[in-house]
Amino acid sequence: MSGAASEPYENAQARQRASELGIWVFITTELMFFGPLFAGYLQLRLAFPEAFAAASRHTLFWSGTVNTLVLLTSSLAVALAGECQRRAPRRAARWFVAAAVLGVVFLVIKGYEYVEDWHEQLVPGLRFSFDAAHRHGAELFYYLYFAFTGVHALHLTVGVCLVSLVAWRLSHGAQEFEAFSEGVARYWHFVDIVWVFLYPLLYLIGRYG
Amino acid sequence: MNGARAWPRLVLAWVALVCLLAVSAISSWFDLGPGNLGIALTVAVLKAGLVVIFFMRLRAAPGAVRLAVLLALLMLALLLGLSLTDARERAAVVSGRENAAGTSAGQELP
Repeated sequence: MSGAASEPYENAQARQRASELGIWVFITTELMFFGPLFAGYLQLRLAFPEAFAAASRHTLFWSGTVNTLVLLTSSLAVALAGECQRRAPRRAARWFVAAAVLGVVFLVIKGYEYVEDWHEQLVPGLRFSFDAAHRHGAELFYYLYFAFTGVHALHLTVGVCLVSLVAWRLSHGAQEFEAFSEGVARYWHFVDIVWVFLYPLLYLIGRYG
Repeated sequence: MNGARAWPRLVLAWVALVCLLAVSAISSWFDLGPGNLGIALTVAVLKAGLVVIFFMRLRAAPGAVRLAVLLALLMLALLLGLSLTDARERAAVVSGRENAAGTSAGQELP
């Protein structure tokens, strides 16, 4: 599309730069969205340190660890897709598909964890039981746990849909598609970074003891 | 296009990320006192840095992008920092009030 009337940008490079700034600004607003959740975690952890440690020992260590590995690997797949997109769009499409599959693997493992949490009676408001000394603090921990992981899973679900769309369009020979696919890739990496912080806060801190 | 040369760099970044994951996971099995928290959060920051620099290519981004990211991090630091101050001060105020009233009730105030 080179028609001056239909494009607000002088050339493809200007459009690319505007798109890059746009997706980064979007990511910073997402940071502001997750930020208050982290601030809430900080406040409550300071108020109930023992209860938070006791509650985090009930999260599934191996599921969390494997899921971190899955997301880091999916980020590599998306980065590799971006690198070969211009030269080999079909190969890039395969990398995007690999990332989408890994995203689904993550969601399945997360779903398994939720089922286990339900059986272990760790779902506040619906089915919760914990030792009396730490019950209140542990309940707050699990409210945060479900808020964090639920919102993250929602973001990842959107990411899986977007990455699949990029893969589909690339495999069907879409042209001038780089601005969109790079935006999707950066969004995917951001969702990965959020998990990089959730993993220690929910699964590791207080594990010993 | 330097795509061919970017492959090893990206894979190396992933290897570093997996090694950092191993460090944080294994360190959580041992009682290191405050070190557990320190290692877990330091590793998280390093991992985020690797993803931002190598996968999101922030280093090659224009100045406006870097400024937007810097401002967002500053706002986040303000949010977390000021709410931390509030948490500490409020605890002091509540315990001060309890001492003044000579009661030990209501100790679990967030």
